[in-house]
Amino acid sequence: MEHFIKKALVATGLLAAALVTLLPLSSYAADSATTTVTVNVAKVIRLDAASGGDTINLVANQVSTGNISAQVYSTMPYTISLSAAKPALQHTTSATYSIPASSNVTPGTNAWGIKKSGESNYTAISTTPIVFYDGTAATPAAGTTTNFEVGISLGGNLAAGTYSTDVTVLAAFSD
Amino acid sequence: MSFFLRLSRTLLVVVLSSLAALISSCAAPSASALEAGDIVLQVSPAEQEIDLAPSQTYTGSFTVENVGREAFTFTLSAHPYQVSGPDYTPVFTTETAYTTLSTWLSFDQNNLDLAPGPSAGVTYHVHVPADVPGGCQYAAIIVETRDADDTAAMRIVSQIAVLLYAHVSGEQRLAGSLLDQQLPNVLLGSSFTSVATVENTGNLDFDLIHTLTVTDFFTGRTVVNQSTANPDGTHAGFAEQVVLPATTRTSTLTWSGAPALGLFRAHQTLSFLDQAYDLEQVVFLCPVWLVGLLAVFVLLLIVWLILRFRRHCQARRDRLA
Repeated sequence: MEHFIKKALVATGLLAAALVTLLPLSSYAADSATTTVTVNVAKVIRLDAASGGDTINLVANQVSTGNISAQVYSTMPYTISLSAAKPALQHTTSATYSIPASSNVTPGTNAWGIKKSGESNYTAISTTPIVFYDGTAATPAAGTTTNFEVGISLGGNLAAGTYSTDVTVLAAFSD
Repeated sequence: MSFFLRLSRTLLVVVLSSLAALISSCAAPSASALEAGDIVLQVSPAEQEIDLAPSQTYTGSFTVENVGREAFTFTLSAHPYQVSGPDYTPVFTTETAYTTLSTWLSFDQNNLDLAPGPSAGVTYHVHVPADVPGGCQYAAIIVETRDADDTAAMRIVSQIAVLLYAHVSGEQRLAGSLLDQQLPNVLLGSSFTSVATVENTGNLDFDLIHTLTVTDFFTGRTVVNQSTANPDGTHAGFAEQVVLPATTRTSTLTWSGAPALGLFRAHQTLSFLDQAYDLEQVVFLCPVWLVGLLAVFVLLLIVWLILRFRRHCQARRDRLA
């Protein structure tokens, strides 16, 4: 038993030593000499938002998806907020039928939502702008495109036809 | 012969006409949603600081450019601007004592047509009431274009906010306090982050300057200073952020290039108004699996020593016996 423990001890020590040598231990060093340069950055922000297609064809018993893209060029950190004056997807010819905005977009329910950047769950859009993307740095000159997945599920009791709404994409500098 | 020639000519005309009709019906444009690059809105400057006085009318301007392929009409509207929570989430609907600026704004024109290429200068006016108290005021001028295709199911409305930070003369109070500051001690795989929380208790905004310097514990080599940048472009050692009145702001500096194992000395400084704070901490970085391995090693060592001691005692008893 003691012999076995001794072997295990040596093996554990060797394993730890070997793995430590494989660790990235180096880190970049800051410049030892720095020069202060003052640059006036123009406060510019540019927005190119698109829905990426005509319609999202809805299929029963599954979540149908689409995309909203927002390409932003910004010289400062920025946020992208989404909202809708009428959050529900409304039937284009009948006011009776609509698909409500909801975070619970699952097959079998009438619901639609949009995913925030980097999240796996849907968020219900509302009349108040909600931050869907928070950029912590300025973008490169070509801009940065952020895609927001739109999900729609059907639960029944809906008339056939087209359902639509206006989605507002708001870009602003963040403090 | 002439009959057949006329018949052939007639048939040819009929065929060509039918072909032309077929081509034109296939080429008829079908309705399609706007694509990326169609409607592109650019505004500068998108943030302005202005000084106001009671009973004054201030005139300012900014530029709106159409850098897309399609012409659009843009509209202007004024909204309150505030922030929410220590992360400073922007809010464009909450009205407070610091957002009445949006009600003082007017525009020479509320909507303008803009073809691709040229830019339009927008003039706004701030009519400051006579009885307004001194301090800060905040508003957002929203530039909006609604030229979305009516046949698209998901129509996009593009907006850009021009943020206005106004300082109104009068009774102005600069006041703030440090609520909390933290540096890590032991990091088992989590990120190297320094945090500070500051509260603004006055009626004027102020700047918070937050710096982080990290040096190697053994060599004294500086690995992070104010000019160090993370791979994602953010600063690892410097942040300058505004703290708005009646808000609490949390400033976070993250060194995303920290190694997995090491011993460092971290030094954090905070300065705002006439206050300055320092915090220094020795930070040990170690991956959690290494801690587990070392724990197993120590446990085995203890067990081995106990077994050895027992064997030694047994041998002694045997000799005495």
